[in-house]
Amino acid sequence: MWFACCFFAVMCLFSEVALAYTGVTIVMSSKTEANLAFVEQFKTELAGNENNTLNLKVIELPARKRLVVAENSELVIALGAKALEAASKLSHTTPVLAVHTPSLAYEQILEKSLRDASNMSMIMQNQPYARQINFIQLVLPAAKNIGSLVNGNSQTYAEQLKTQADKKGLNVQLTHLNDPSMLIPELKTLLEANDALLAIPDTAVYKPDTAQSILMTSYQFKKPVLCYSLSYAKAGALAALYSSSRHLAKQAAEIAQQSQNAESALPLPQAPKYFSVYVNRQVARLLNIEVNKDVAIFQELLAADNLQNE
Amino acid sequence: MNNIGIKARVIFLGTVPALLFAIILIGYIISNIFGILNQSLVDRGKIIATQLAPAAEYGVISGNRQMLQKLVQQALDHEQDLKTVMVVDNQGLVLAYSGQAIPETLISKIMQENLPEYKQARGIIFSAPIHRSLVEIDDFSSQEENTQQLKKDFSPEKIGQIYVELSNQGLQSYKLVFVVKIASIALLGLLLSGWLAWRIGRNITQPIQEIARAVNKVREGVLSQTLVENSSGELKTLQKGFNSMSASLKHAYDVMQDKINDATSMLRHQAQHDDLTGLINRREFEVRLERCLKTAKENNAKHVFCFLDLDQFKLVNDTSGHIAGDELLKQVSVLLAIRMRERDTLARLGGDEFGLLLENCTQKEADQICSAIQRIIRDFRYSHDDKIFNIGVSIGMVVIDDHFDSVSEVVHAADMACMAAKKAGRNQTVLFNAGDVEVVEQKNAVEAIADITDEIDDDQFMLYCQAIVPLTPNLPHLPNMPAIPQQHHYEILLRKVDLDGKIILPTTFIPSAERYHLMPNIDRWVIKNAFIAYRKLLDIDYEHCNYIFSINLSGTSLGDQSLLPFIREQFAKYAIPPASICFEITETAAIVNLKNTILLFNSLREIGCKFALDDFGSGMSSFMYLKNFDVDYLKIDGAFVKEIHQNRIDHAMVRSIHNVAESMNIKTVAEFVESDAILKQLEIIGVHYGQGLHLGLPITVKELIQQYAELHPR
Repeated sequence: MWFACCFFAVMCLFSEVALAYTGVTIVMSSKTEANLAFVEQFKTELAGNENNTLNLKVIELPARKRLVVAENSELVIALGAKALEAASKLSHTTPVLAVHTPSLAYEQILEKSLRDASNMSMIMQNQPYARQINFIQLVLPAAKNIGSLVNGNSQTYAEQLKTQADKKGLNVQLTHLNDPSMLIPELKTLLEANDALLAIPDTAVYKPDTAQSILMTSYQFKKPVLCYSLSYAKAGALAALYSSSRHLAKQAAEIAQQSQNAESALPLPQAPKYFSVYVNRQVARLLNIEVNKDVAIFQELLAADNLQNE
Repeated sequence: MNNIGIKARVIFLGTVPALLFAIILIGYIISNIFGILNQSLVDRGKIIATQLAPAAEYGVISGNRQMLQKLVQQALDHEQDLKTVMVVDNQGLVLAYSGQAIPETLISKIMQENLPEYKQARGIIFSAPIHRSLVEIDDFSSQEENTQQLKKDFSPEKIGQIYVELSNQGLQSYKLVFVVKIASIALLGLLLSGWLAWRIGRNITQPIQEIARAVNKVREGVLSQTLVENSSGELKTLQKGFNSMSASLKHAYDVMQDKINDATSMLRHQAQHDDLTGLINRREFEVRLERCLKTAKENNAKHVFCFLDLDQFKLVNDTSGHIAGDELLKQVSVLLAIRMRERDTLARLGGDEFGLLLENCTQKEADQICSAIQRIIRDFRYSHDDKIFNIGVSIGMVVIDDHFDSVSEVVHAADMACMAAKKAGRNQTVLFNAGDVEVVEQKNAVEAIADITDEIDDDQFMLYCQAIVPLTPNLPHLPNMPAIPQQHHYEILLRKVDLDGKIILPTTFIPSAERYHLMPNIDRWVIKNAFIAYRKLLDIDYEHCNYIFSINLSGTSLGDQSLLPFIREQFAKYAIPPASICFEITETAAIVNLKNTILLFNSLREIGCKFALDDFGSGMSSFMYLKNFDVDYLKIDGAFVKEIHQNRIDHAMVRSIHNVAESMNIKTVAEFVESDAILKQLEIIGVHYGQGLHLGLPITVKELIQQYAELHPR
């Protein structure tokens, strides 16, 4: 107990000192297209703010050397779990914002780094529950039962979502997939009982080598798949509610600027603020489903978000 | 190849290279096409397998056998040559198959050896792995370590295997059809090229064949061959050349034909006419005679055939030479021809013999014509080298009627009549009558020699001998010869023995023998048998045998080059002393064969033989000839001797001949001593020897030998 009190006191001391920063260092695991788009959009956002005083530095994660940044004077934005892990090893006074990192990984790194939530935050991958439920209902207005395969990674989110959905008259059936070889049988069972399958970011269930099987099975059952990424939608899902790198960069830039001189800690991990909607029209035609226009759905989702924020 | 024609060569040249080219091309095409077809089958199999593998992925993952079965069935239904499509999982469990199942052992083998294709006799099995495919579903997946690692270590998970068996039977059928088509096209091309070659060959060979045909025609003698000069190049040159050659040949042939015709006419004329006189010759005359004989037999026509033999022609020939004789014959021919009627045929039958065929002529008219001819000839004076000859003509006349069976009979009859006319005193006309004595005699004479051939039988002739008796007691010795005891001199005489054993005198058969050129053989027979006789005398008593045999040689024998060797051979064979033999030659014969006679004399004299000139004074005797002939005896012609006791001229002639002979140391022999009166006159003149019936009758040689044997018994 004593130890814990001392630790908390130290952490508070440090946190007060460390929050002011003059620059931003974006650390990326590699120069992927998504990362580069993020950097570019981030720069754009900074440049678009007349009051911006933040310096921006972009570094690629070195292979073995320790990450070198101007600790205590910069905000480190880690793109990806690997970058986040490296950044987590910096001085605890150096604020770190995680992007492109699954929530579970974030939690694990945070815990491992012994940081507190005040100087380490993230922009989550999962869409807000309300937006997700609205999205389902806008795309498939007639759907009453939605099934979803979940694993430990996504179970928390899924259960919250189910709770929220129930409130809006939408039944979400969750099936836990513990054995990967049971994917098809479980999926078949799930699809037989529901009107659509909702894919939630979970690397244990929705991964490249299972994607085709899931899509094909759902197609076999004439049941659409609603997903969380543009890639998945283009691969064969009916529609996607997603936030791109640029969306996240914009949101990260806002966080960086808002937190520059703030005496408070970094905001808590937050859901994506900006998003897009994509409907695979080919799949809709094959499944004989009429879906509203992407823009219309987006507008309605946006309106719903605004209404909720008010 | 060397014996084939031009057309065949052209076809060969046109087709064989094309055939070789076609074979090479077809081989190349088939090889390539088959390679491509085989590769396309392999590619097709690979494509089918690799395309079916992803399609079967979900079926394998989901274990949906119905889906897989539908997939493989569809593949089998829509893909040609597909025999089998089989899907197995990574454990080797067959999930679906269509067509013929592939044995598990084979599948195990393919799997173990990881063979992408496995060839069998009737098809190829292709296999392709079924992998679990990866689909990008996360926009930021590259940031995910797991995902990155997955991609980095990506080794597609094999979840099954698909087997596809493609039958190669369709391909084989296609290959077969292809080969057949190609071969058909090649054959068609070959036929086409052959046809073209044949056409070209025909274009080439047609003119050549025309030329060859024309050449054959020319060879067969049809020279008027002209070719149409419708070709070009060398062929046209050939055609022009042939036409030119043909024209030249035709011209040359025409010229040659004219010459041949001329020559034929000349030959025909020569065959029918006598070269010397231009009159019809014997052959043609006999043809006409045959015709006349036929008309005589068939139409009972009367024709007359006259056989003319010039008298004294031999004298002209012998004394003035053959040229003079030939000239005489020509002039006589002209004389006679002028007197002929248009329908008469005058021919020279040979030597001094002429034939006159008087067609449709009576005997009376013939007599008149013959008389006219004899008168003309008699009045004709032939002069040559300052010599004037009176000649005559003996005519044997035959009336041609149906009694004669052949031309030879007619000629023979006329010949005999002519000889009878000659015997009757020359310049006579004798009408052939089968019963006439003269004719019969003549006939007998001819018949007498009928059995004489080249090989004379010993019993055909017989040798006689007549003594030549010394008339003066003291004969002068021959120069360079020692005085020898009185010799017994005999002239060997010849007699013919007919089939009845009757003796025929030489005067009867010698003329005929001379005429038929039998004298050389007869002379040899005489020599041989005289030598045999003399040998017998020697064998009886050699020591006392002092006989001299005089052997007559005919004029024709003198011209025989082989006579001298024969005589030498006989001397050697019978070992006769040459001095015991004296050869007698008539004056006329010696003069006619002057050169040969001198040579013979010289040759035989070298070995010691003696010589006598017979019948001296009967011919154109000239003492000048005695200079040329180194003779031992001069036998005075009997015509001067037989009336010497009555005729002073004959007496003077004998005396002068004897005187000349004696002055030349030649002993004289008088013939025909038939009476004592004659003998006395001869003795008065001093003739050395006498011979005649008064001095001794001819005896057979056999008797002589017998007498000698009796006188000289052993």
